[in-house]
Amino acid sequence: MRDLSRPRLLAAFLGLSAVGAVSHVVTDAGVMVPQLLLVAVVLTVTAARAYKPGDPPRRAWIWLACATWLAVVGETVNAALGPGLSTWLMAVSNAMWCASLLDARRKIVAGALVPPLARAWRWALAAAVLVGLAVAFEVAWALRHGSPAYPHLGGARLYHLGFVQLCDAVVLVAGVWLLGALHPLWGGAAARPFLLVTAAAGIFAASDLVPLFVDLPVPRPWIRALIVGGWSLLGVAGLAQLELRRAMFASTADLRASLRGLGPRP
Amino acid sequence: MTDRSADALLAALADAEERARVDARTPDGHAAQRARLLAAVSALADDDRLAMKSALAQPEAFILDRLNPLLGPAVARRALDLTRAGARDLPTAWPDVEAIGTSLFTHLRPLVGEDIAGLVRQQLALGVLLWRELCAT
Repeated sequence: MRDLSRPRLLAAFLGLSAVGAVSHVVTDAGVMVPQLLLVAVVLTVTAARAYKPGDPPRRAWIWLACATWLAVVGETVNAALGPGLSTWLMAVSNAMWCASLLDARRKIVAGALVPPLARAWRWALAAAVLVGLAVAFEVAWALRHGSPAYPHLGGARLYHLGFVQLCDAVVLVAGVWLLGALHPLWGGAAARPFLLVTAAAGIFAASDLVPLFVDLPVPRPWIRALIVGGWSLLGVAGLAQLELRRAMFASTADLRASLRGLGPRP
Repeated sequence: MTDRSADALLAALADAEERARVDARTPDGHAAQRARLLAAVSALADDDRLAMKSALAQPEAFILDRLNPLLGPAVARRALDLTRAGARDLPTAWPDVEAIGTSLFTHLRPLVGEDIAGLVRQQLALGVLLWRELCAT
C-alpha cells in the first residue's frame, strides 16, 4: 500500500520544486508566490478534507495552512511594496509554524499509543535546546552589535531577522520533540505526513540558522534552493495525508467488495 | 485456475486490487475481476481451502495486517495490547474483534482523526463477516 504511493509523492515534490525553481529564474520579484500558492491550496484542502471538524490532528494542519497563506500575502506585499510590512507577516507565519509543530506533538502523545520519549531522543532534545539557547545568545548579541552574517541589515530589519531566528530555534526544538514522538510510528503510513512536515521545518531552520554560526560566502543561492525544497516538502506532506485517507477508503471498499464477491451463502 | 495454490490466488487478488487502487478505479470498476478470483478461490482443492481457512483462523494476524501499514509494527502491537488490557494472555477470538475495533477507534482517533480510525474499525467488522462466511460454518 505504501510503496506504490511513493512515486506519486516524489513526482509531486519534483513538480512543486520545479515551479519554485522556474519562477525564481523567470522573475526577480515575488519569486516564491506561485509555489507558495500551490502549497497553501494543498494544505487548505488537507485541513478541510482529511479530517472532520473537531478531529484532534486537524488544528495542526490549520496552523500550517494559515502560515502558508500568510507567507503568500507576505511575498506578494514584498513584491509590490518592498520589505516592511511583509517582514512582519513572515514573522507571524514563522510563529504559526511553531504553533503547528507543538500542537501536533501534543495531539500525538495525547493517546496512549505512543510510548514516552526514548533515552536517545531525550539526549537529542537536550542538544536541540542547547542549540536554541546558542541562537538566543547570538540574536541578543546581533541586536546590540549588528549581524555578522547580514552586515547590511539594521534597525527594524535586524529585529525581524532576530525574531525569525528565534522562531527557527523553537521550530528546531519542537521538531526534534515531534520526531521523538513519531519515532515509534516510523514504518507506518500515519507518521509520514508529519515526518515530512518536520523535515521541511528542519530545512527552514537550517537555511536560517547555518549562516548564524558558519561564515559562508555571499551570495548564497543554496539558501533559496533549501527554501524551495522546504515548501515543496510541506506541500507533499499535505498530499501524503490525503493519500493515506484515500488508500484507507480504497482498502475498506476492497474488503467490502470481497465480501460481496463471495455471493449468497449456500 | 484450480491448479494454482491459495497463496498465489490471494497474491493475485491483492495485486489486482492494488493496481486498481493505484489507477484510481472505483471498487465497482474492478469488482468483476475480484469476483472471478474469489470464484477461483472457492474452487480450490481441499488442502488449499484448509490453508486459507487457517490463515483466517488467526484474528490477531488479521488485525495486525490492518494496523501494521498504518502504525508500523511496534505501535500496531502496542495498540492491540492496549485493547486487550484485561486478557492479554488469552488468544484473540473472532467474536471479540468487533469490540477490539471499537476500542482501537478510541485510541486511534487522536492520532489519525475520525475518518481513518473509523475505517480501521469498519475493516475489522468486515473481517468478522468474512470469517463468518468462509470459516464459521
